[in-house]
This record gives sequence, C-alpha cells and structure tokens, in this order.
Amino acid sequence: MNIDENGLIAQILDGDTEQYSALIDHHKEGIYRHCFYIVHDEDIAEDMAQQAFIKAYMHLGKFNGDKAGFRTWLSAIATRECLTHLRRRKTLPLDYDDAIPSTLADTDQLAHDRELHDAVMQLEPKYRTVISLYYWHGYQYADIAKAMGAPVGSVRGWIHRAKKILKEALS
Amino acid sequence: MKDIESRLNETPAPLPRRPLSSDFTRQTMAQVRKEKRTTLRLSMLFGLASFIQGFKPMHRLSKPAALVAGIAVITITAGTSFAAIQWLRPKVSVDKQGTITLPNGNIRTWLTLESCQGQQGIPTPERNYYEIKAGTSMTPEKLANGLEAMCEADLVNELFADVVKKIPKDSNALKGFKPGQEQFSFPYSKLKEVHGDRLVLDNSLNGEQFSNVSLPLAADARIYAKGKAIKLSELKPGSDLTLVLRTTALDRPFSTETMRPDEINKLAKDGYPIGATIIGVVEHVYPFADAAEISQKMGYDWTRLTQSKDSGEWQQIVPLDNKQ
Repeated sequence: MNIDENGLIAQILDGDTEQYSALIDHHKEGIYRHCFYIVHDEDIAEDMAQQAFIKAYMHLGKFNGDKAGFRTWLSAIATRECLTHLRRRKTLPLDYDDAIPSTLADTDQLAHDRELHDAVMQLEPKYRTVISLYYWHGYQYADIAKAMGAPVGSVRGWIHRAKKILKEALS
Repeated sequence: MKDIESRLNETPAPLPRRPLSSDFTRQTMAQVRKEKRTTLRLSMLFGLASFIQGFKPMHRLSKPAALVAGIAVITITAGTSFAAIQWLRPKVSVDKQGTITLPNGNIRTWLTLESCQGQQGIPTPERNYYEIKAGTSMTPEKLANGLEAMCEADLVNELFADVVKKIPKDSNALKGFKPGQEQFSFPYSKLKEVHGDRLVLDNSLNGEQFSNVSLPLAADARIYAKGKAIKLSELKPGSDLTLVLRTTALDRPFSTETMRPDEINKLAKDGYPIGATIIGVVEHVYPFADAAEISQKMGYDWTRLTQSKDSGEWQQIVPLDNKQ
C-alpha cells in the first residue's frame, strides 16, 4: 500500500504520535532484514531495528524529505546502530548449527552458501556491512556511503579489501 | 573455484530464520510513547522541546495538549529585551459549496484558511480539502474551529521563537551565560500563586505529575495580559500562562539521552528545573479548558487530503479506517 510519508511525518511532527505506527508497519520488514544482513542474529536484528525506529522518531524533525526518502534515512540510522553494536561485541554470532535443512535445495549448495555467509560474518564490521549492503541488499556505492557516513571512495576501498580477505579465507 | 566476485553475486543473501515478532509495532510504539512522555515532562519544566532536536515546541507535542486560543496582540514596550510583535488571528472557514458526502458516508469539505499558511503542515494556497470519517461527531464546522486553534498555537510558538532570536547580545536576559549556552523555551502552565519573586505553577494539565513547580522570576521579567504590560501583582491565580523561560545549559547538550538518572529523579522529586528563570509571562485570553476541549474533540476522525500529481485524485494523508 502506498502511503504519503511526508504527509504522515507532518502529522507526527504536529503532535499526532500514533501515526508513527503506520511508518513502522510500512518499513519494519525491510529494516529488520537490513539489520540482519549486518548483525546476522535475528534477536539482535530486531533490537537494532526497534532502536532505529525510536531514534528516527526522536530526530524526526531533522528529516528532510527533499534530500532523501524516509527509508534511506531510516536505513542510515539502522546501519549506525548495528555497527555501534558490533563494535561493542567481542565475538560474532555463528550459530547456524540448528539451521533447518531445506527439502528442496541441494544440500551441497546450501553448504557452499553457508561457507560464504560464515566467511562474511567473520569480517570486521565495516567490511561485513559493505559486502552485505552491496551484494545482498542491492545498495549502490553512494547509498552505502550515505548509510555509513563515509566517503564513496572509502566504501569502494572497503569492498575491495573485504573481497581480498574473503578470497584468502575461502581458498 | 569461482572468483569471489561471481560467488558473491550468485550467493543469495542470508535470510533471517524467523520472521519479525508479530507485536514489533506495538512494542516499538510503547517505547516511542515513553520517550515522548519523558521529553514532554522535561519540556513542561524547561520547555526543552525548543532545543531537543527533532521535536517541535511543546504546544505541538500531543493533540490533547492544551492549546492557545485568543491571544490577539502582544506588545512589548521599548527598552526591553523583546521586540514589538503583532499578528492577525488565524481564521478558518467552511465553504459550504465545497462540502459533499462521499459514497462511503465520509464528508469531504473545503476549508479556507487565513493567516494559517505554513502552520500544521498546511501548504499554500489557502484552500484545503479535508475528509471526515462517516458516523462520527466531527463536523466541518468543528474541524474548522479546531484547526483555527491549532494554527494560533503555532503562531504563538513562532512568535516567542522570534522574540528570543531578536534579544540583543548585551541584554540582561543573556547575562551569566557563556556564548552559545543560553537556551529559551515557551511552556504552558497554570498559575497557582505568586510567592514573592517566584511563580508556583501547575503543570499537570497535560496529564503530567508536576502540579507544583516553583520557578524564579528574573528581576526584569515582562508580564503581559490581553496585549498590555501588567504588574506581577495583577497576575490572577488560576490563569493560563505561556512562559518565556531562560534555562541554564548544562556543560553538555541537554537531552533525554544525556541527562543523568539522578538529575531526572531530582526534577521529579523537587519539581524544580535546574537553572530555569522566567523572563516573560503572557496570560492567555481563553482558558485552557476551552482550548483543550477543542483539541480533545478533534480526535482522529479526520484527515487532510493531498492531490496526486499523476492521477489528480485526492488521497487521504492519514488513512481513515472506514469499514466498507
């Protein structure tokens, strides 16, 4: 369903807080997956998604609909929350042990995919984030740069470096 | 072995193994409301909303919040820290010819707004379509009345913000502050009593707990009622006020995120904000009860309409939940 986001935001800023639930409903799945691509843990992804929505509400007055869509702005907030969380963690979650095997997919293919996923999750947070956003979330360099608050050139460099590390890890 | 680029391109993204919790929205909104209540509570004491980023001044934080209605003119005499300000009272009227009943029973009405542009998210031009949900007590006339009150509240906000911007740098109002540390805010309050050089205020109008807040008056505080300067002794207990507060900034940016728990507890216990001084008081013409009643009756059974650039169709900005 299409919603008039700028109109909703205007109403929320006018004091109609309850309208924020419409924005949450519209974006929650996408932000949850976005956070999962970075933190790779469902519970943490959900926490980060919630924190992103709360932060976005607190700073809604700063949102400029002319510069970017609400989703882009929200994703940037979510990315920062996830990266901050990862920097605080000392270990990374790798708990695919209870993965449900698919009766349809080839199990060799699944193992092959999992090997790559695990290798990506072992990367340090900024490398993991750029790989996830570029290859699995369809972000362009400029979008990643905005989401991470970094220059485009840095993002390119990180992707290049991350791929080198992955190649060494998987060889 | 495939090169890493191909492998990354061909490998599907790892997906969450479980969906998002079904009550995610409900839980998030609970946190959002909590955040709003904390900020509103603080803003009642400090009018912090004017500098907590992301929030509009307190008047716009919640629909049921008290609204100003009826301050026609505020004139501040020369030689003070304030500028002379005058503005036209907003007027919202119903165009009966532009009011129709839709097939689903909703009423679509055309309202003309004067001195209201830019307020409440209303763009120019002056004519705006609104839709009222079927089967509710809302009418075009009540909607117009409520919008008029909302527009006036917005104008008051802008008025005081403008006043503060124009305070001369060498003014008494700014003494004692390091550059960039002074903060001003404009909360609503009800006067309980004048106690020497302090006002005892009731901030419980918005459902908050602070029914006794004592704030000091600056020696050169300006007090106005019905557009004229009055003496402190002429302020009437029980009257509704908008205060102009000067607050002492802490060493760090003041926000709910940086305030320590002991500072919040002190506020809750003493009801006394850290370093706030009243430098201006405006006594309202209309009592809060009338303005609050208008706001309460407005409810959520209406929405403004916006016209789609592609199809030209009118669309509800906030979907009304009509059961077909």
